[in-house]
Amino acid sequence: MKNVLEINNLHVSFQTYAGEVHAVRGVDLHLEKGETLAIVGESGSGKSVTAQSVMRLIPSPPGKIKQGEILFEEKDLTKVSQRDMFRLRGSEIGMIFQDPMTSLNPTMTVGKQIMEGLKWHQKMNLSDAKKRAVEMLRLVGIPLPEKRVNQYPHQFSGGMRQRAMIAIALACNPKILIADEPTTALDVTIQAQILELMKELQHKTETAIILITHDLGVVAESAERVAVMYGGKVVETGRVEEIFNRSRHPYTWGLMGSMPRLDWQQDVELHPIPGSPPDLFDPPKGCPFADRCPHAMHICHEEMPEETEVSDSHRVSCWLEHPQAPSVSGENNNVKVHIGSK
Amino acid sequence: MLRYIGKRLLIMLITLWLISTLTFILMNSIPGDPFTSEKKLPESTLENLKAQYGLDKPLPMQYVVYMNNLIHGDLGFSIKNVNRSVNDMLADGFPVSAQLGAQAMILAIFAGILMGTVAALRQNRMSDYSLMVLAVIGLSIPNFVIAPLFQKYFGLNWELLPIAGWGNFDQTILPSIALAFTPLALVTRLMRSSMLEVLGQDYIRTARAKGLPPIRVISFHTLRNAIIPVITLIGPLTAAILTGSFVVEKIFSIPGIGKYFVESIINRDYPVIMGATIFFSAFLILMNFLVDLAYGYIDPRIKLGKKEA
Repeated sequence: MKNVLEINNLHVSFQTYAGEVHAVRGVDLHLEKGETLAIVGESGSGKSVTAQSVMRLIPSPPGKIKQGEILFEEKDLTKVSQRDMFRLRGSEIGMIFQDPMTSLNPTMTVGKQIMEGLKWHQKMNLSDAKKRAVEMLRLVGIPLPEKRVNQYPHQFSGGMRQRAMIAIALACNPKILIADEPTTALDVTIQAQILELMKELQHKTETAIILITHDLGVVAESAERVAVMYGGKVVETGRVEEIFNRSRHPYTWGLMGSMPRLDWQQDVELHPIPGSPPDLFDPPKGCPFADRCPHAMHICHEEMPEETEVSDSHRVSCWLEHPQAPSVSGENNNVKVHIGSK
Repeated sequence: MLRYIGKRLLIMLITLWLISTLTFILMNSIPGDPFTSEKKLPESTLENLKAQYGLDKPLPMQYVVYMNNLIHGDLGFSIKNVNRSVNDMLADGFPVSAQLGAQAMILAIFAGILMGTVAALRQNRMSDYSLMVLAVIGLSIPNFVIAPLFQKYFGLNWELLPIAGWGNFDQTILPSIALAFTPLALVTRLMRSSMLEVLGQDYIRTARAKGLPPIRVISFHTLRNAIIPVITLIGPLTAAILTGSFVVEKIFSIPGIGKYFVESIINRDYPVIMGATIFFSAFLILMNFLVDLAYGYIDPRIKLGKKEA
């Protein structure tokens, strides 16, 4: 299958008064047409920065893409001009954000906010754009779209606002939708509805989705492939069943272990990962997880492990994959995780 | 909405009544009366004069008479400017004061919004710093210092503009700028901080993610939201320009209401004090009301006169 997006060796840094923060340090990712790729990892792992680099929405200064390429339809997005980027943003690549309560302009009707992109990118006239806006609102499941199109965001509930955000992002039929923690600010029933909606729309429009989240439940529910990020690097990537059932990286084990499960007995404790993420002002030269890893060896602190191919789709960067390494297995490795039907 | 406007009008009338009553009491508690002067007048003349203006009656009586006339729109006659009714004086002075005030207001708001926006967009750069230094100067120097300085440099030294008087547009320039000075600084600072706040909002990122060019993001998404606090400032600004106009009109010898007002207090010209105070108060109350109406129009989240659902 053809890749709609390819990120090769991406490095992003932020200049601050305290020094340079290496937020993303050599990320390789690819996104296939019509698939959902989940990027998971804790706060500060670089997942949002990676996504914002694709949109070139990194506040600059202080942020800067230092190295690497982001290929979208043979164009390197790190090199295209501002003008070309304005054309791509919103029309080829759409984005939705974490907090729908603050992501819509409070003084503009929802309809106008959907129509804006259509008028700008597709040069639609007012009545066509309005028709399309109503159609989009209906598509994202907002009742009475003819009435809702003239309402302001404060007249929408949180879940409806996120639906409206999706309508804005998808109005121009983008090839890629980047969803940056789209369900974090919503309550659980609304979360499920929004994920369901995104999946449904993906079938209709064949949009590829990059889903950024730290909620593994969301990942199991909606992604085909997963990239686990830590300390500005992708430490493990694979198909969702490979990551959930046959993960090879101690950090992924840690993530799985810190997730509560319905079938646990009451007295089972959650296993948080001890310690805190590495200081990206001065990133470690070895594996970024080494300081918190229960299986860390001497070499882990010294040198970054090479990527090992476990299968065609499954790659991991860990010294445990080395032939001379002792054999260990994750505590949760044998637990079967139910993976959402697709 | 009509109900809301009706309710507001009623409250405005009550406010106005309270102000006029208070002014009446305060004014009469100032020692002396309109006829106190260096030259001692004969007792009989004084009594005649007082009787002519109704000042011989007891105060509560005077109050009732005044209020009755006020309801009928009659503000009485000036004591110092013989045969001039206060209504006439206000009618003569108002167009002048209104022009001066409006020019100052427009200057303060538009230039303030422009300068604040520029400062915010160039945050922490040279243009931002210089605008903020100017704003601090504007806030700290009162207009009775600025006005004579303007007269000296622009009028006397460089002979660019007329020093005082009223009649052609050139004469309005210096007083308008002097009057707008402090309000301009206020608007600039408020606009800058409001603009910076809005620029950091999530919905601005959404607008940028839509691929809109920066000029559209700023004009359609940022400005409208950033202007809301400036709108609320218009009420207090009107008050500042009104009080400022007393001084500025006096300094530039402009025949507006402000000048009459200052003179009337010095002369204890009771009817003029009352008339001017009531007129200014009514104007200010009305402006605040209009600002509230505009606010509801600009920010759709504010529904006037409706309880939160």
